[in-house]
Amino acid sequence: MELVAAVLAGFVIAPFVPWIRRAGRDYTGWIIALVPLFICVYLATLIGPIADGETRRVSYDWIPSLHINLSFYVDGLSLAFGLLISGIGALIMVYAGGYLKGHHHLGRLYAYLLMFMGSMLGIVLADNIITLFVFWELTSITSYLLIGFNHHEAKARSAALQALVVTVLGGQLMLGGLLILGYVSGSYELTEILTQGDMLREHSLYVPILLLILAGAFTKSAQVPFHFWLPGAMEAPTPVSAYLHSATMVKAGVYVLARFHPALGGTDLWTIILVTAGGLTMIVGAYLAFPQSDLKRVLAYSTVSALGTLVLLIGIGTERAIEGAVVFLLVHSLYKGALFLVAGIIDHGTGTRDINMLGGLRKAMPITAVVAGLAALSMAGLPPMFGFIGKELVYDALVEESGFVPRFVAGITVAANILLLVIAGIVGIGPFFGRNRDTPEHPHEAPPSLLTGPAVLAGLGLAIGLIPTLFIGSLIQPATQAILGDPVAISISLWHGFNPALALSAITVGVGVGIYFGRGRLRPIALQIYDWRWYGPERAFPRIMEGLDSIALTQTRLLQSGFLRYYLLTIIITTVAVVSYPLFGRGELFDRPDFGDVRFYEIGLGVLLLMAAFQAARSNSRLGAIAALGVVGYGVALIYIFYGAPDLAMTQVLVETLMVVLLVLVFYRLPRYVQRSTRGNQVRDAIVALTAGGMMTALILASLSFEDRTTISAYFDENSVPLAHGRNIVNVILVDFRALDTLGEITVLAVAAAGVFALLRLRLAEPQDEEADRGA
Amino acid sequence: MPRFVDLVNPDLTLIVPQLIILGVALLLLLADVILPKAKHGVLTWMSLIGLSAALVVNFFYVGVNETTFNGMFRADDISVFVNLVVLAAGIMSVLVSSSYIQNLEEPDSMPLAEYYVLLMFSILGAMLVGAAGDLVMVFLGIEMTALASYALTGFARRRMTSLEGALKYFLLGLFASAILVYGMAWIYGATGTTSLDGIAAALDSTVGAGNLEASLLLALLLLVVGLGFKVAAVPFHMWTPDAYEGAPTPVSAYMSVIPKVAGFAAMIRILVQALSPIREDWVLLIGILAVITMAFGNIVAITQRNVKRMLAYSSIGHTGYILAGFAAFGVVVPADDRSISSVLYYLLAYSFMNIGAFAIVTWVQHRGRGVDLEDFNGLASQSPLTAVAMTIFMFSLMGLPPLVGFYAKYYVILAAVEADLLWLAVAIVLASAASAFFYLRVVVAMYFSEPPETAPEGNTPMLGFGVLAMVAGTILAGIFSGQLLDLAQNWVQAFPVVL
Repeated sequence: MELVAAVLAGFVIAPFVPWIRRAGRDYTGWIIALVPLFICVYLATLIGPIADGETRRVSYDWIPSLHINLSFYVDGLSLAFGLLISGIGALIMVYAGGYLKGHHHLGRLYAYLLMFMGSMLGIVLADNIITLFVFWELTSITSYLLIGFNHHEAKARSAALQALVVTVLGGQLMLGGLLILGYVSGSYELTEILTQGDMLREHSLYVPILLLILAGAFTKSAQVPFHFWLPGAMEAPTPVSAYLHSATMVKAGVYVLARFHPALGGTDLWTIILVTAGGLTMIVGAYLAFPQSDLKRVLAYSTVSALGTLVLLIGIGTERAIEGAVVFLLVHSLYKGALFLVAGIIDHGTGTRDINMLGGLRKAMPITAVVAGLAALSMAGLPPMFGFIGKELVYDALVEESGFVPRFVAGITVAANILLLVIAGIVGIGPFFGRNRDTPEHPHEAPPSLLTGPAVLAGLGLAIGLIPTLFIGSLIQPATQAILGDPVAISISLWHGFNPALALSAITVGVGVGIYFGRGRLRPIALQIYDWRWYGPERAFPRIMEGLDSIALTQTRLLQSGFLRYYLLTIIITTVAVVSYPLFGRGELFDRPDFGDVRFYEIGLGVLLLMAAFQAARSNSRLGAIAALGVVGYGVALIYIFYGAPDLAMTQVLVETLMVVLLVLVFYRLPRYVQRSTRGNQVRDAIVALTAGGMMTALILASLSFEDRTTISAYFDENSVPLAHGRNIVNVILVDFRALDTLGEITVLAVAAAGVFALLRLRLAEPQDEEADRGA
Repeated sequence: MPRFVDLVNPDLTLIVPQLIILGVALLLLLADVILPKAKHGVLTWMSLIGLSAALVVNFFYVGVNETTFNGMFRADDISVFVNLVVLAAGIMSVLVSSSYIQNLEEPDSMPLAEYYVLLMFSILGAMLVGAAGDLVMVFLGIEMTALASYALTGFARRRMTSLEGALKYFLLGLFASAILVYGMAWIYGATGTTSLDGIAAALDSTVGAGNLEASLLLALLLLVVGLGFKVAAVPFHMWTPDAYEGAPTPVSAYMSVIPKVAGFAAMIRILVQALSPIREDWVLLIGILAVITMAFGNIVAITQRNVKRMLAYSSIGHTGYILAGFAAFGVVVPADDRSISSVLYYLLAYSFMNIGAFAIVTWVQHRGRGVDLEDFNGLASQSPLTAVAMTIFMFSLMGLPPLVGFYAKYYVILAAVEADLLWLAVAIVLASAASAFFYLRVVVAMYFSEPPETAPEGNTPMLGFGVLAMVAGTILAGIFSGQLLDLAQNWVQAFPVVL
């Protein structure tokens, strides 16, 4: 019950934010922060039981017929994520209050943030995969609202569109994967799916399931080649960026990978895809971050890199690697959250985020400088910070494998970490040292509401680094266990002796520091290479859009020309093509060619009909065409008479007469007939018309093959006297057996005649006078 | 011996919802003559009350499953659900239309009474298709719906595009009807009856394993072509964009739903009820048609800059999803067969979100804007609530949870997956991923573009209420879909499915 409340709290409270804001005024942030804080505290009470190996699960029926249950589940993995989401959430709420103090739409922002937090908690706590997906898409929507908050720039527009399109696209694909997964495993509850790993990995549908789910996870977690949307989403206000990029949104993909690891992980395909994508993302992200000058963009690309590292580690999938992933996940959330918030403080205090315009801020912003320094140390992976432990574990996981590929991956990882160390210096140290620069606003220290968040996060990074044992048993070990699906024993410490990992760390620090001090010369070079990105996916996205556009345009020209004649042409040709198969392809339908006794006047009538139809088609005057059509109609009436259906014939004659009158009346008003089609068109139309006519003829001939049905004439012959007391069978049929039909026909004729009369009256009453027409 | 219709004792208690609509239509005609023009606002209320009354009465028929008029008319769980969709859509259409028709948004006036009468007859036609027990009834209902739609499309009679759309719709529609009725004639020829159950029984006894008789296949293809046209499946869709764009916007809203519902109801009656013994020959055909339709509709919609046209192509895409539901028919044991229930539920979901989207277009037109994408620029800053509503409709059409469009699409995918049609499931997922492009474009225009300088105000309470109702429907019909789904699942009791 508490679990459901924890997830739904954000959604329930969001609508009341305006009132909270009215009551709370400038302290709104602190008040709203209580919501995530309560959740965080509640989740913290579960740490003990979960560490003891328990799990919690609740389930309520939602839409049972769709296999959708409102079921939630807590194990080590979801707990770690839940704590990050709610904990950092609380800090963000406080921070946003200070950052957007007095902003007109602050209430709206809080409502979005609360809903977003609820969606994130829903993802990590959901047990039902469809519920998971519902919350997954809810994060797409709410994050879109957050990214789009307060923006009317063309740049922001395309960024938001890109971000949404990419994540929604991935989400839809993942839905397909989840559904097939549920179908194959016979359950839509994670707790049951995760126990069927062996069966799933052997299943013939494993590959589509894996690819579809990976598509969702990769787009959400900005893996190459989908990485381009994430920096674009930097248009959001800073508290939002900090929240989305540290602990939440982008980590959702990582969560899904970790979550499904026991069910889908461990195959060659899994390892190859994840290691390749993760490794590429790690190095590309780090590299792209280096030449940026906007603080937030630097941080955004470094987030891409960190996400790559996480995916890489989950792809490797050894005990050490998963442990490294869990630790690095926590490390990254802490320092990245802190650094984003610091970037916001700098922006807030100086009016710019351009690192070329920032320097020597430590005097004006001493506390910020300390906080930023701590976070940067953690990011750089230097002792005694938590970040050091994280990086050591990552290296450890990589060097324990031997062979060319692991060595190569290890090399890339070192390179990426060197760049990250440089970036840590650029964002965390650079702005505070060196000479003072002119900034748009005079630098000033931030208020407590802004400082609380980053200070807590950076402080935690330091505290865990110093006493890592605090977290191993309680958080990291259960989470690792949950990802691996097997019990593990874990020991981590700040100092773990001289080993290959430490040597790699030494190299990282040495080279990194060197590059940091040479950055003035290196960054312009990197910037040039940075321009090559236009040949990557960032270019591909608009290209794909253009491609789809041109497909659509081509079809519009071909099929949607707007000319009725082409529409008809398409339909006729399709119908002929479709119907021809059973008609001619099977060859069964013409097995009774019986043209026995055709009478001479029938042939004469046939010829007459054909000539009239031909005349109607080629006539140059409308009246001529109508008259010819009339001949066809009366001819058909004659056929009815020949074959003993005088009632039908009578109706046909009446209808035909009315039709001719109507057509003449209507067409009389039209302008003169003009020959518009070219010779070629006429030939084409003639061919199509003849084909269609041929098909109809064949159809009628084929219908002869039906078995003889009982004819009804015998019935009338026997019953017209006893039942209807009449000897003229035709009369009896018309006025007795089918009296209702006759009544209907008369009615139809009367209505049509009334229409003709109305038209005639219109013609008589001054056709030019439109106003008078309307009254009629 | 031929059997004659027994006119002595039709059970009129079974056709009360239809009678109510007929009565309302006649009353409207009468009121048009009696009431002075100034009091024609009453007509809106008459229509609303009539439709609501029919909607309420309709619920008494849940689980009844009886027939009358010698089996021609059925009051079963399918007709109940079709009535539900059609009447709900009818109410929404009236709410969307009233101000548009009265406020002279088009050149020259449009007579309100005639509009509602046509609407009512069209609704009645769709209800008759849903309740049909005989091919003749199906045809009668379809034509009743369609004829009124043709007239409504051309209702802005002084605007060329409206007339053009109507003419194209009319001529192509007639052509399709001819093909359809021809297919029916062939079925009659092959089975000797027009009764749906009779056809199923006849086919069940004659159809053996192996190749289908050529004559039946021929009939089937003709029927599929005719029905495909009615529901605007590719390649029989060409009339849709022209007609939707040309018609007065509330008419586009209405005809994107009700005639389509009639078409799908006809498919249920003909393909599922009558032709289920030869389902192996049509499920694949419909499946392929579904994929072509959803791919085509969703890709072509991307390039559209006119929102009404875009919605026309989007509705073609949705036709594809619904057809996918049919393709899943008959694989699973009947009681669990989700195929037709997914179709029915999708139709309901679709009517909320699609009429909703058109309602916002109408709303925007009332404020002196056009129907191009640019006309939605900056709507969020000028009228935030409208923008939120449109966003909800777009997200729902896209299939995002927790909106009704998601559950509907999910249900169809589930049906496809359970019928082992994974290729179809993946196709739906891919198509709806592509649809994100154009739905989001509207949302982005509303939230991220500069609004125009001037923004004339409009006062359209009825429309506003309608939008509110549809927003509520789009949100609630998804989250609390359990009972609706159960209602839709009742279809398996509507008639004995012959497999």
